[in-house]
Amino acid sequence: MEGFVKVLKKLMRNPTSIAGLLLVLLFVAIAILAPVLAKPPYPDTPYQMPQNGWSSVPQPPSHEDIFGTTEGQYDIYYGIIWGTRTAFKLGIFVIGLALIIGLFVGTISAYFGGWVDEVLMRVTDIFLAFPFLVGVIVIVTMLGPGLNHVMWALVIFYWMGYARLIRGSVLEVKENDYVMAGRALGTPGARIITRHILPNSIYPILIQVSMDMATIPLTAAALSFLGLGAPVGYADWGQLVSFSRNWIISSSGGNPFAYWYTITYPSLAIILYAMGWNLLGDSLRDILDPRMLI
Amino acid sequence: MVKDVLLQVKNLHTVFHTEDGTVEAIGGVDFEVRQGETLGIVGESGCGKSVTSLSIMRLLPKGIGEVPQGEVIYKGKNLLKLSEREMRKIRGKEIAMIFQEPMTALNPVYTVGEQLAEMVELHLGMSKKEAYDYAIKMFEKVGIPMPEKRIYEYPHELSGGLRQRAMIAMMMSCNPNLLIADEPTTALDVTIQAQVLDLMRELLKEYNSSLIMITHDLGVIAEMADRVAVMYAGRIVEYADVVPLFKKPSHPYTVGLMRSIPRPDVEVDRLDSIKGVVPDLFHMPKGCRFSNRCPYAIDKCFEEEPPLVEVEPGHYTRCWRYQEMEELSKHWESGEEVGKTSK
Repeated sequence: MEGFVKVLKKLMRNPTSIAGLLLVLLFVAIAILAPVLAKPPYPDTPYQMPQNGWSSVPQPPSHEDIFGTTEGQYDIYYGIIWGTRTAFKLGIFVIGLALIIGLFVGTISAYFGGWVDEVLMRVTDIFLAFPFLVGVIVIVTMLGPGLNHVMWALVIFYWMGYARLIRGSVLEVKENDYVMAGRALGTPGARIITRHILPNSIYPILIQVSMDMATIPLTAAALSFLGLGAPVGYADWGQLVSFSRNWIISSSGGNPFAYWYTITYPSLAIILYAMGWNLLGDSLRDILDPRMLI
Repeated sequence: MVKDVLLQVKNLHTVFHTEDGTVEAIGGVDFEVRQGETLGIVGESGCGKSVTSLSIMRLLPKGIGEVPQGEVIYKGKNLLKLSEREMRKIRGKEIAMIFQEPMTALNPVYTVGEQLAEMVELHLGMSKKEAYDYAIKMFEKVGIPMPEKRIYEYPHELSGGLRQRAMIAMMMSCNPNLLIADEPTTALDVTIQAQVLDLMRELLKEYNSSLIMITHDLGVIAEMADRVAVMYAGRIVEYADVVPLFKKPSHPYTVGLMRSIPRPDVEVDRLDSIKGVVPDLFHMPKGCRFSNRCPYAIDKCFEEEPPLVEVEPGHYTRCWRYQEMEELSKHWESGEEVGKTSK
């Protein structure tokens, strides 16, 4: 607890880390307060964006839809609020699971070395050999469309990066004298891994995770766009952006930016979300790693 | 009075399997450590001092280092035959190791107190609270000021001397019977070195522990050791009690080592040195391993390796010309091939 307060204090000293922390906290708050901020018209299916008519032309912000509507009249404000939850859900699930697999494979591989390393790394290579999106598409097609299946498919093709990163990091850390000292003190192998090696090799991963928290929702959005992810109308930033694809510059003459709201609001949400995580990740690294203090 | 033998190393061989083939890093080393005594192992870098200690602790890199023959008998048990689990109980609790560079030997992400506490929790089964109290006590014992504050500091917040003290506190915390210190003072400045050595001596006396002191510094040996093993290229070349060794060095390598340290009582223009470096393990000289650097080498030295012979009771050397050594050692002409009869 004392350590946590220390970290917070250090975070508060740096303006960029404050910005990152505030942005992430803002999105966390939005996600938690989603039912209050945008009351779902159908409580059973809160992730379904309500439609305000059927016109294929986006409608500008109004009293009713404060960020305007997309083509098909989905409420952009509602989509952004509930899309925050989708983004967190995707990020936490996919990265959490991929991280667990990656940590396990990478650590075992580096710590034991020899043929264990050889086998695990070749398996990793096999997974890396598939083009990422193609691999995910194949898996989703096999499992059938749907957000849950997308998440699993992403996990299957996302853990390799973590495994390699962790492996490299562990290889470096395990050569340190304190690992040898730990063994010389009679510490069991499992404890050496969890106490001495992982805490010292986790930092590069931490940054990668915070960056990925931003990219995973984007990838999922790309899949939604291909019709493999979330069903049409599911609150998802990627889907909102893809709705706006035809309206970035108005083709019907007049003001070319007449439909600015369709692209601006969802993109802003994505940018701020990604930026928040990146800033937070960077400053967390600086703060949490005692080696940076030397 | 002969004290009980605590550790006995018999005919220890250590080999390394490298990409270029298998090499023998230690070729038949024998020595013993008695209860409460200090054995100094001295030699220049690359002669197998550290490998010896790692072999005893069974900490050689897996799959690369191996001990194909020999025995390490500790309290009647051959450590080389124990299971990994039994060995783990010995490490830290019975035999502890102090490393050269306390900065890298301490884990940077935990406070020093946490690391000491972890060890006593593990080996002595203390609760967290007891372990921390114990940590404070140990820090006090090794002369760390304000121990109740210091235990909450990270290694990088301590000075080099304090770090080594913390390391020693950690190693002594389970009251081991045998300490292996691998160049414990090399990374410290001279004033701190003396303090750390004094501290170690006091603790050894208090706990009646034995010590294997690995160093290249004869000064440290003179100060700390009861018995000395001089190692060269994986062999013990001279083995004696400390006083006879300094009084009557019987191996040219020992002579060379002693002549290459400055002495306040003798005025010289230049210090002598031993020319060359320890031969690489793949290209050992055929006869005596020191022959190619030895100023006194004769033909026999290049052909046959001398056995370890007893010069006087308890004083062994591995040299063909040991009987003449007293006379020979008066002049050390480094570089000049004095004494080499022909070739």
